[in-house]
Amino acid sequence: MLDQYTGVGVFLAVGALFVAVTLLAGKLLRPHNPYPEKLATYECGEIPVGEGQIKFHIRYYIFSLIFVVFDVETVFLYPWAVVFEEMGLFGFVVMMLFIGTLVEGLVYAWKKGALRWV
Amino acid sequence: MTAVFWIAGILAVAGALGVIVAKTPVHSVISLVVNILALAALYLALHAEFLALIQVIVYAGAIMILFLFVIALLTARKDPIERTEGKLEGQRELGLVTAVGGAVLMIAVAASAGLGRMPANEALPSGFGSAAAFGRELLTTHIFSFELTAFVLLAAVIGVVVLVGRRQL
Amino acid sequence: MQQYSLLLPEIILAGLGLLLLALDLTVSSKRTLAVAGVIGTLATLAAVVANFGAPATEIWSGTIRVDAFAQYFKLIFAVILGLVFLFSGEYLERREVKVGEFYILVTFATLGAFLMASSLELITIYIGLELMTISSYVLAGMLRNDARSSEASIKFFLMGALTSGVILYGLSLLYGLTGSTHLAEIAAGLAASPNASLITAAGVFIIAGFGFKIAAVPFHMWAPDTYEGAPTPVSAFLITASEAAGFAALLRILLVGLAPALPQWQAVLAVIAFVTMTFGNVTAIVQTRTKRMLAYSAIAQAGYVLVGVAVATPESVSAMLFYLMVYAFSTIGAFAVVIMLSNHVPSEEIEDFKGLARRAPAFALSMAFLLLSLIGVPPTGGFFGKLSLYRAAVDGGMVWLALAMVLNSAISVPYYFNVIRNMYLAEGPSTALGARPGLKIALGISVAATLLLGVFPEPLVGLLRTLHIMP
Repeated sequence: MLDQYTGVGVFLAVGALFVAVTLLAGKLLRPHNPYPEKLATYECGEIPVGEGQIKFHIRYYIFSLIFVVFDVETVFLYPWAVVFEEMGLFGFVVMMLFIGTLVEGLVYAWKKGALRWV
Repeated sequence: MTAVFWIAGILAVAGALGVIVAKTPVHSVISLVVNILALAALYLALHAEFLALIQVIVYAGAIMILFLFVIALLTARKDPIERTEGKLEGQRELGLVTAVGGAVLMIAVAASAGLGRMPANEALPSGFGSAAAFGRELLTTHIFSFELTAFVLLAAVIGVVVLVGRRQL
Repeated sequence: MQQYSLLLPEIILAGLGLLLLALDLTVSSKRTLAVAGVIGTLATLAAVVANFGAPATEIWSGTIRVDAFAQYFKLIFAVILGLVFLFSGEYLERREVKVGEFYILVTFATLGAFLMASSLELITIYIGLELMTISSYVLAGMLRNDARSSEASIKFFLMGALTSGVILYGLSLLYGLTGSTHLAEIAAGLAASPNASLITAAGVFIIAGFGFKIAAVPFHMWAPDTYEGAPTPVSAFLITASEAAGFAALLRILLVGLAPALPQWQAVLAVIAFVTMTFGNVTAIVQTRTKRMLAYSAIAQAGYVLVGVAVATPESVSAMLFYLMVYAFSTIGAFAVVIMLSNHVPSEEIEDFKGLARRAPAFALSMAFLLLSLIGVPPTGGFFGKLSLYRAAVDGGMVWLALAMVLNSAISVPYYFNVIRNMYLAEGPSTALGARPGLKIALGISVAATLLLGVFPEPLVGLLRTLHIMP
């Protein structure tokens, strides 16, 4: 089982190493000459307004909460898809009931204005 | 196998400690990601392949984003969390005693049960822990709880709209 | 196809939840929802009763078990749901609670309770528990303009999430020890297992976890605040249905799954029962707010019910099942009166009951009767329920616990009588109070059932004698 994931482990290790090595190499090689314009936040050529760390609107939170719910729904789709052929029509009906229930939840959230921005 | 257990286990504990020790909330979240990924590796070592994937997709993905949103919502700047004891004096000491006591008890139980001498579960059916095995269980034995999981999620959607949604409507 | 007819109660209830959701989006009159809810609950009740005669059947490798034990609990849940549909409307509208969502979530919570009572399999029981508690967290916080309601919800959620984790840990230990999630197989596996200390650890986690869910001392900290802060119909539902569901699952797990290890737990459970009833009763005496008093009274009542679990004989189990039924009716009825009163006097102090005997004589009389049932005075159902619990405790060899019950009933007299004294003897405002027909019907049913169970307990006792947790 784990053998199949050796590649993933190597990838993770090399990835971590790569970041460390590049940052270290940059620190050693680059000239050190900071001045105010260089330290300003890069905004595609625009002059930055205000600060980067602002308070998020609470509406993001509602979206992400609803997103999590449907993310969990997708989790159930993977195992269903894998055994779809052997389960046949029965499996299809079962999953449609599952999704149908959640679609009603989506319609509900939509109608109650939870998905509207303003 | 044992090497994976030790590395991932130590990383998991270190991540969990980081969550409560870190002064900046964002650092806590990053420690939590370390903890979650280490747990996923432990699941893999236990042949729970599908569970490990879910752990990464749902927890390291969706739930962590939620955490970051809440942090962005509540602490705009890099301020460390305010640590006020308030009326609940002695909470930390009590928590420490409980945690240490619980850990000692669990270790004692594990030691007396001889966990190290337990026979390895070699007779796992083929495909154990795979998405296919999970799907088969879901659509045969646990079909009713599977359908009702939709209702749990539906209750969650309604809860979001009722508790954080618009006051009108 | 036969298995689907056995599942009809759950299917109807699930359909009712989805129907209410659809109606909430399309129909503007919220009373339509309540009417639909009552009709749906009656259909569910009919399906439950129709299944009573069927032989015990396990469906889908035992994840669902349809037997008389499960049907009995479903009967209790469905009755409570119907009464909640009947008495909540006016309260919810006055407090600007989202009525549609309330009805939907309370239906979902009941569906979860159905599942908890109707399974011998850990994962299914757990999903049922989650469905019930997640719906309840939201329900407890539905008074969005009331900080106490938010506090109730947050406390309930944090403690509930923690204890779900504790329960799950205990269940996972059972699975790890036996390799099965089916309670009967777990029992067989445990009997052959040499790991006594791990079985004990699993028992600790499960009893502590469910102790939280049924608000047994010392796991009760969340309960008074939650029951006080939550909208009153929600408190009524949590104290009755949610607690009964906790007992249903606890009974099945302890008496079926942990049966080989049960003897070592009986003494612990007996002590928990004793502490719970004593603490609840003593603390209730000093309360001045109605819901808080009823919350501590609920803790005390949970202690009485726990006696049935601790004694763990067939007689004690049927006595506690009887008591749960009476308790559900008496409490829901008392809450109906509290709701009626708080529709007119929002403060919810016990003082508000002053002069109720003149302001609403029928309500005052009903309340007095229901409180007498909670004390356990004949001819109420509460008397017969306590008597059979007492007898079962003595027969089961726990005489001290039986004596503690009697002593506790005496301790409980002052705070219940305080309400009656306020209603009948104290001077108060004299404006007449009234309620919508639904609330009156709910109160009437509760009083009638409490009286009936006290005067003619035999039919129910006979039914309970035929019902077994295990085949």
